[in-house]
Amino acid sequence: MNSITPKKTNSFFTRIKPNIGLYIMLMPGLIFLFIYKFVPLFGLLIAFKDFNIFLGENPFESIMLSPYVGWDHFIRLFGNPDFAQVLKNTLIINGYKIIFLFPLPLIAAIMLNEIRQKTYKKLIQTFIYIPYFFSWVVVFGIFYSLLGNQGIVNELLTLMGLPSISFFTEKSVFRSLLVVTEGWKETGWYAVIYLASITSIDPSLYEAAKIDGAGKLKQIKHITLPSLFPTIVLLLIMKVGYILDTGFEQILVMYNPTVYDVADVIQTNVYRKGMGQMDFSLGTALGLFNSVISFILIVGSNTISKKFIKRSIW
Amino acid sequence: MKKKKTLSCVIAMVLMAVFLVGCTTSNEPRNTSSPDSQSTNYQTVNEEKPTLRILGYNASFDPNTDLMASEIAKSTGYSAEYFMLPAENADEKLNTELSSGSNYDIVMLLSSQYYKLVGQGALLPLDDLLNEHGEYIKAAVQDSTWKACTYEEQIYALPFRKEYTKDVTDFIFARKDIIEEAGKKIPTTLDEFYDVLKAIKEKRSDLIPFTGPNSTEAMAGSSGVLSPTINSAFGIYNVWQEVDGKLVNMLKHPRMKDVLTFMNKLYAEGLCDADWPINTGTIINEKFSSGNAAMAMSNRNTATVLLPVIRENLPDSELAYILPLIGANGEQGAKCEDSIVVFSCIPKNSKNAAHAMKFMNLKQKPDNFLYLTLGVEGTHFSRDSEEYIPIMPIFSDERTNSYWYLTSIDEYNYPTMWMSRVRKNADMWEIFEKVSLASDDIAVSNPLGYMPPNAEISKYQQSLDKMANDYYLKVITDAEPISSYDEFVKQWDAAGGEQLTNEINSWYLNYNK
Amino acid sequence: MVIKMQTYKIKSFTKITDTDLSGMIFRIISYIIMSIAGILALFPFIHVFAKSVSSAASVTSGSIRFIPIGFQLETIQYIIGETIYLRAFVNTVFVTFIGTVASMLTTILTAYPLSKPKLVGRRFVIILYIFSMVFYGGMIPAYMVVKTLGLIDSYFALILPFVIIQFNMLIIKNYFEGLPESIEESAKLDGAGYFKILFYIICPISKPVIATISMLYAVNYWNNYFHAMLYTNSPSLKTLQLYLYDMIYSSEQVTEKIISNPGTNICVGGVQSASVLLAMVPIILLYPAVQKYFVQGITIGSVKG
Repeated sequence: MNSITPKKTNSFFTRIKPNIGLYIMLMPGLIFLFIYKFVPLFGLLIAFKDFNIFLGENPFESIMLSPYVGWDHFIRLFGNPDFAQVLKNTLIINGYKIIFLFPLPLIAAIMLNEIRQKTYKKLIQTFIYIPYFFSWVVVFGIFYSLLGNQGIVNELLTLMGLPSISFFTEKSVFRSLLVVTEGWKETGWYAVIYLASITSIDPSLYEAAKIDGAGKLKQIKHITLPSLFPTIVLLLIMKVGYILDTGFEQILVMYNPTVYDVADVIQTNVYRKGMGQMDFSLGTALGLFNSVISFILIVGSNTISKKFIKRSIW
Repeated sequence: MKKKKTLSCVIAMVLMAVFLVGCTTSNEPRNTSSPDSQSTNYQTVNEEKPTLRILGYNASFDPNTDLMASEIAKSTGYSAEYFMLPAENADEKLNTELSSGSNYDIVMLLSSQYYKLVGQGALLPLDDLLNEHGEYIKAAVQDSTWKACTYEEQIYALPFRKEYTKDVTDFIFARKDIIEEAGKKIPTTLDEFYDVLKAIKEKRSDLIPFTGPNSTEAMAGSSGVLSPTINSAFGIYNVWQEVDGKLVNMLKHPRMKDVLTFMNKLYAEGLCDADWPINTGTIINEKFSSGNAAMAMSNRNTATVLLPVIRENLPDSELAYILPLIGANGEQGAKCEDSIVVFSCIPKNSKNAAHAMKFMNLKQKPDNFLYLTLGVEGTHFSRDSEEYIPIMPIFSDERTNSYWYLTSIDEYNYPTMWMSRVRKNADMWEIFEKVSLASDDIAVSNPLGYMPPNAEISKYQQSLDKMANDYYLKVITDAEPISSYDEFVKQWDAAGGEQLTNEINSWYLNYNK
Repeated sequence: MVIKMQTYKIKSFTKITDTDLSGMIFRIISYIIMSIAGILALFPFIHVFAKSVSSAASVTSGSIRFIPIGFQLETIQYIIGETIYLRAFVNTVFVTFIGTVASMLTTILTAYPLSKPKLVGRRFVIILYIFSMVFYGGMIPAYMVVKTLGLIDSYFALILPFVIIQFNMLIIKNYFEGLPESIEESAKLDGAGYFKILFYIICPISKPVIATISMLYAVNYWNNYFHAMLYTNSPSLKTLQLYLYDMIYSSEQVTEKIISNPGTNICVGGVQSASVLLAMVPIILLYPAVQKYFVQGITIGSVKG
C-alpha cells in the first residue's frame, strides 16, 4: 500500500527540537536551582524532628539520626497562647503596609519622570534611593532622634504648647510608625524598578496621544500605567505572598515591651521565646509554615489575576 | 559585533580567573615558617609541631597580625592560626562549624556556648591530657575553679577565671553639682535618694532626674531594667539569691513587689525617665553626657568613656558615684561575680589534642605568663611594692589585646597583675577605687558563679530573664498593674521558671554540703 | 536682535506649557513633592556623615544634627587604617563585579526562554523558580551543600549559592514578554539562532531593565553579610560588610580602645556611623553611573508595521 500517513506534526520531540537552544539556555539556571535551592530542602525534615546537631559526625547524619517527633513543633507553635494575637498583628501590620505603601513608588516614579532637568532628576533619584541602604538599627536611631520624647518633633510640639506624643511607646501610634519608617526606607528602591520600565516606553506613543489632544493626566492613565501593569501585578502578588514574612528585623529593632500587644509578630515572638535556646527545629517549623502560606497566597493571587485581568506570572 | 566578541572574551577570562582563584583559596593548610628556635626550657617533643587552629569570640582586631600572636609563638614554639566568630549569630556559626568537622584544636567559649556544647557531646574530656602535659596549668588553677569545668565527673575546659572576683562595677552616675543646686547631698539611703529626686525635679524641671536601660542587652554588663543600687535597699543583691536556705530568682524575692512599687511611684511622679522603655545604652549616654539627665544607671566601663565627653560638654559639672543604697533596716549589698569568663576547650574531632594541651601549658609557665600578659619589667611595667604600674603608651600598644589569647590564668597572682590594666586609664582607676574598692565589705557574690554546665539551666535562662525584665518594665510604666504580679509569677514558672529553680536548687544543696 | 530674543523666550515658555493645564499643575506638584522627598531622604545621610566626622564629645552626647561639630578624621582613619579594611574592600569589589556578571548572564539566559509563551514546560519551570523562592531548607543544609562541594572559604561560596535571584529573573522575564514578537521575526527569517537573537537584538533594546537588574544584583552582592559570615572563616576572605558589621557591633572593643587611649576622638557612635557610611558610599555611587542607561525612548519603534 502506498498511502502516505501524515507525520504527527505535534509529537513531543518535534515541538522541542527547534527550541533546543532555549532549553540549553535554561540549563545553568536549573543546575543552580537544583544544587543550591532544592537539595538543601531536605533540611525541612528538621521541622519534624528533635534535632541535635552533634548526634552524628556531620549535620546530615545528625538530621537522619535525630528522633522523629511528627507535628509536635507545629503544635507548640500554634498552641502558644500568644499565637492568635501575633498572627493578628502580623496580618494587620503587613496589610497596612501593602495598602498605604504599595502605590507610593509608582507615584514617585511617575512624578520623577516629570522632572525635565537631567541633572536634577538624577540627583533626586539618587537621594531617594539612599535610605534603602541604611540598616534598621541606623533607621531606628535616626527616627528616635526625630520622634523620641526628647526628639525634634516633640521639641516643636512643646514649643507650640501642644502635648508631646510618645511615638515609640503609644500603642495607638506605633503601628503607623512602623509603616512610615518602612515607606521612607523602601519607596525609593521600588521606584527605581518602575522607573526602568517607564523609560522604555516608546515616546512616539506620547506624541500620538498629544496630537489626539490627550492631556498629561490622560496620557498617564492610558499609556504609562498600562505599560507598567505587568510589573505592578508582579510586585503586588509578591507582596501579598510574603504577608506573613516581612518586617522581622524592623520590628525587632524598634519595638519594646510596652507595645508588644500591637507590634509583636510571629517571628519576634518565637525569637524571644526561643532566646538562647538554639532551637533549630522550632525555627524551621515556623519557616515551613510561612513558606506554605506564602506559596498558597502567591498561587491564589496569581489565579485571581489570571481570571480577572488576564495576567499571570506563569 | 567586535565589541560583543571582546566582551565575551573578557568575561570568559574573568570566569576562568575566578575558577583558579577559587580553587586555590580553599582550605589549604597555611605554610608556616618553622618555629623560632628560641623556645622555652620545656623539653620539645621530637615530632614536628603542627600549626594549631584556634577559634575565639569576636573582637575587632586581626588576631593573626597582632603582636601577641608572634609573642606567643616565640614563647611556646607553637605557631597558630587564629579565627574569630562573627559579632552576630556567633552561636549558629559555632554550632555549624563544630558539627561539620571544622577541625579546630582549641575553641575559646563564652559560658553560654560552653554549657550547650558540653551537654551535646561536642568536646573532649581533658583529665588525662592535663595529667600528662598540663603541670603549669594545674599549679595555677585552684581546685574550686575546676569544679565549674566539670561535667559528669570529667573536666572539659581550661578556665579563664574572672580576674578580680570582688569587682563591683555598677553604680548610679550622678551630677553632684545639680544635686547641690537642689540643696541636697549625695544620697546613701533609699529615703535620701527619693528626696534628692524630688528636689531635683522641683528645682530643675527641665531635666530628667533619673534614667536607665530598657533591657539586659541595652547596656553591656548591666543586670537589666532594675538598678542594683536601688535593689540593694530592699535586700536584693543578685539575680539569684538565698532566701530561707533556697535560691530564688529576683522575681520571686519577697521584696520584689516593694521594688516595683517604688519604681512605679518614681515613674508616676515624673522622677524618672518617661522614655525608659526605649532607652538603649547609646541613648542613656546621650542623655547624661548632654546634661539632660541628672542621674543615670551606669557601670565602670561606660562611665570611663563618658567622663572625657562630659568634661568637654559640661565643663562646670562635678560627678559622683552613688553606691548601693541602704534600706530601712540597714540592708545594703553590691553584686560581684566570681565565675569563669572564658572556657577553653578542645573539640572532640581535633587531631592535635596533645599538642594543644602542651601549647596551653607553655603559655601558663610563670615566666611566659608574666611576659605574655604584662610584658617585660622596666619596659612595659614597673613595680611599686605589691603593685604593678603600667608604662604608657607601650603597655597599651603591645599588650592591649593579650586578654583575648588567654586560655587560663595564674589565679593566685593575676588579680594583682590585672589591676595594672585598670591603671591604664586614670579615670577608670579612680572609679575602681571609689566604687569597687570602697564596696569591698558589702560585695555579695553571685551564688551561681561556679554552677557547672547543665543543659536544662542554660536552655531557659535567657528567655526567662527577658520575660522577667519585660514585665518589670511594664509594671514600672503602668502598662501592667502591680496586681498582676502573682499571675505573672505563675506564667513565669510555667514557662520554665519552676524547672529552672528546681535544677538550680538541687545543685546548690549538693554544692553546699 | 530683539525679535530673535523674543522668539527664544516664547519658545522656552511654550516648552513648559506645551501641555494642558492639569498636566502643568501635575508637573509642578511633581517637582515640589519629589524635591521634598529628596531632601527627606537625604537628611539622614547628612546626619550619619556628620556623626562620622565629629568629635567624640558631641557624638556621644547626641548633639549632632546635620553639621559636624569638632571636625575630625580620626574615626575614619581608624576604620580604614586597619589592614583588614583594604583587603576586605578589594574582596567585596571583586565579588560584586564577578558576581553581577555571572548573575546577569544566568538570569538573562533563564528569563528569555521563559518569556516565550509557547515553550513546552515553561509553566513548570516558572513554578519551580517560585517554589524555590518561597521554600527555604535552613541555614544548616545550605552550609552542608557548600561544604560538600568543597567551596567553604572560597570566592565561589560568595557567588554561587545565590547567583540567580528569582525575583530579578521574573522582572526581566516580564520585560521580555512585553517586547513585540516582530522584532525577532526578521532575524529568524535570516536563520539566526536563539543565542544570537538574545544577545544581538533583545539585549540592546533591554538596556534599562538590564541596567536596573544589574544594579539590584550589584547591591545585593555588595551588601551581603549573612552568606559571607557563614561560608568564610579566613580573615583574608573577609568582605567589607563583615568587617564593618564587626565594627558596628564591637562597641566593647571600641570602648576598650578608648579606655586605653584617653583623649582619642573615637567613640562608639562615631565608629558605627562611619562604618555605615563606608559601607554605603561606593555602591550609591554606582547608581548615577548606571542612570545613563535610563534613556527615554529606546527605539523599539524601529521595527514598525
